[in-house]
Amino acid sequence: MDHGHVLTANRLSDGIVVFLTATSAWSEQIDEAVLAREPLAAAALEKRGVEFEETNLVTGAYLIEAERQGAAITPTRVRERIRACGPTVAYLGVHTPPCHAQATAVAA
Amino acid sequence: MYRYDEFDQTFVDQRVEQFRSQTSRRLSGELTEEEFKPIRLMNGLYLQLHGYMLRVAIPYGTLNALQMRTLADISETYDKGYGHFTTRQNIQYNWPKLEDTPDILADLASVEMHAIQTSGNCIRNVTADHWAGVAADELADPRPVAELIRQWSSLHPEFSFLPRKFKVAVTGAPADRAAVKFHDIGLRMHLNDAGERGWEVIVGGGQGRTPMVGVTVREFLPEEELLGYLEAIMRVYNLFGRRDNKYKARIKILIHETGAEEFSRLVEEEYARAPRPSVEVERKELDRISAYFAPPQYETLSALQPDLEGRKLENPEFARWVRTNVGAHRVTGYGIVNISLKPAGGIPGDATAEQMRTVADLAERFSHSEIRVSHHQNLVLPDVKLSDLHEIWTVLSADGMGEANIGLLGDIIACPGLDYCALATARSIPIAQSISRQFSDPSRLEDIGPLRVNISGCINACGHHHVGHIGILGLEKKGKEFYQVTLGGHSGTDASIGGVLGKGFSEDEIAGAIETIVDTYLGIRGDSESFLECIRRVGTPPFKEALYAPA
Ligand code: SF4
Repeated sequence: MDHGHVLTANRLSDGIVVFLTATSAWSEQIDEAVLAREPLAAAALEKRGVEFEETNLVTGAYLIEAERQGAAITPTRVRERIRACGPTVAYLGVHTPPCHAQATAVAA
Repeated sequence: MYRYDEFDQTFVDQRVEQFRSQTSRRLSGELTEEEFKPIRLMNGLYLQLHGYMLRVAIPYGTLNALQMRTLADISETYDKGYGHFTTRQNIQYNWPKLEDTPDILADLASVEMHAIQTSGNCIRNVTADHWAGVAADELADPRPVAELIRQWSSLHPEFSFLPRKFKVAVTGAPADRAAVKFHDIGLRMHLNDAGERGWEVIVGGGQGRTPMVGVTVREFLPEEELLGYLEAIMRVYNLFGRRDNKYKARIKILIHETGAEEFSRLVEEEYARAPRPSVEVERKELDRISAYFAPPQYETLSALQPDLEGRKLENPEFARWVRTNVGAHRVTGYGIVNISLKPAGGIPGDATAEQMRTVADLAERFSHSEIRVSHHQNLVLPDVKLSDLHEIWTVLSADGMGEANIGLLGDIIACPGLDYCALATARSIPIAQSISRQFSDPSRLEDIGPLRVNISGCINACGHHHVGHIGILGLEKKGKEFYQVTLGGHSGTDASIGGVLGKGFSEDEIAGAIETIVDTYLGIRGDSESFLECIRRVGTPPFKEALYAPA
């Protein structure tokens, strides 16, 4: 299991939660995020975040602690697990897509 | 209902166009987030856990069928087909896009609605008794005064940068359904011996991390002096309220630190000093506004409703709903229909677009087009003929809104919690769901009697847990959510703040703990003694014993 940091933000135009990938794109799937295992790498991610904020793609970028097991990335804190997956409750009229990090959140 | 005049409409329309241009400047990068954030907040747009959230003001919880239909349309066009009615009688959308928000605000403006002053350190949406104007026990409709305060406080230049947000609630009834003792200012109407109206002014109530019951600074303020006096209170607060610490900035802390007597003296001094509009001007303005709230033409109906009684006999479920959900109207032959947005296992306060339209249709057909939002996160049809109840119940039941649980254990108040809220420490909705599932049998609920459960997902207490007969506060320790339980809170006339029972419970344990509390109550209650009365008589020991004593 790898432990480290992932950079997350909200997309400026629609507010949706996104994660920075290894190819410097923003994905809605946390599993596609790049995991920085070293403090230096994490600092570099944070710097990328500021640059993206300056180009108005995202807003409020920050690092979260997470773990990678196989292909799956799971944030350490409950809050971030819920943020990565959407509400844990099926909201009216809408079905939440299954999300592995959420399964962990509910089980934890 | 109050209708915008030309000035109101022009102002709101212009504001939408300003925000449209500001939003496009933000999207193009001309404005930074730092520059834009206060602007979007001033227009009700927050950034929450999963994205933007738009809070729309519903002044004193009153809206008409057309407005409700527009809220439904907005939820479908720009959001995910539902909305959340809040404990402040507002509605929140959980998934609006920034780029769509100017259009949403334009749609709202087309039906005289907006999202101004739903955020920030200003005087927020004034809340009122959701039975205002129709309750059998009411002295007079408090909404003209609520509207007067709304107009006075909207963009008031002196009070748009207060130390902290400021909430006002009004009631015209002796039974307090508006929690006036838990607002920055609570106003309760009284009549003097001459039958003239005056207002008891209660200041410094509140919840959050320092819950306090408000103190009365004037027992009977003549109605025409209201704005001048409120202005004096606001000035004293603006001048002396702390700005060094956001957690100590509400007016309740100022009153606590200076003492109620000294605070009162400062207000009276300011009131005597400051120039104010003449009493005649304010009377005229109040009369002008009151005309908008003139009651509809009621029919002369009989108190005897053989048809209704027959229906009740035929159908015990309907009879139960009439008992639990229909309030006493001041006009004979009419009733106040309280629509529960709390189905067993549901999300308190959520309504789909379809449900909103159903309510709008019912309001149009049966309630003079008027609807109310209650701070219990339910809806109200205020002016219903008793002879129409059965049809209304049938329609509501078909759309998942026929739950017979108003004021009972299933009618749980819960804030969005960690499922939506960026400030939360724990989830509250799943807790409400597990409790309402556990207590879904309507006859059991009725047997248990009046019992309010309130759940907040953090110490900010938007779920009003301090005033729940059973209050639940979600916290986090070492990456796990847990829930602290309080007993004996109450927001009525005899207000009280709940006391913490003991160590908290996990998500899996909480419904069981509530079960134990309820069973304990059922075991020791006296004849027709309510849960609250019982707690007040015996205190917490029997409940602690049942919950924590080693088996
Ligand atoms: S009480 Fe806390 S979690 Fe609940 S809505 Fe308020 S701020 Fe959010």
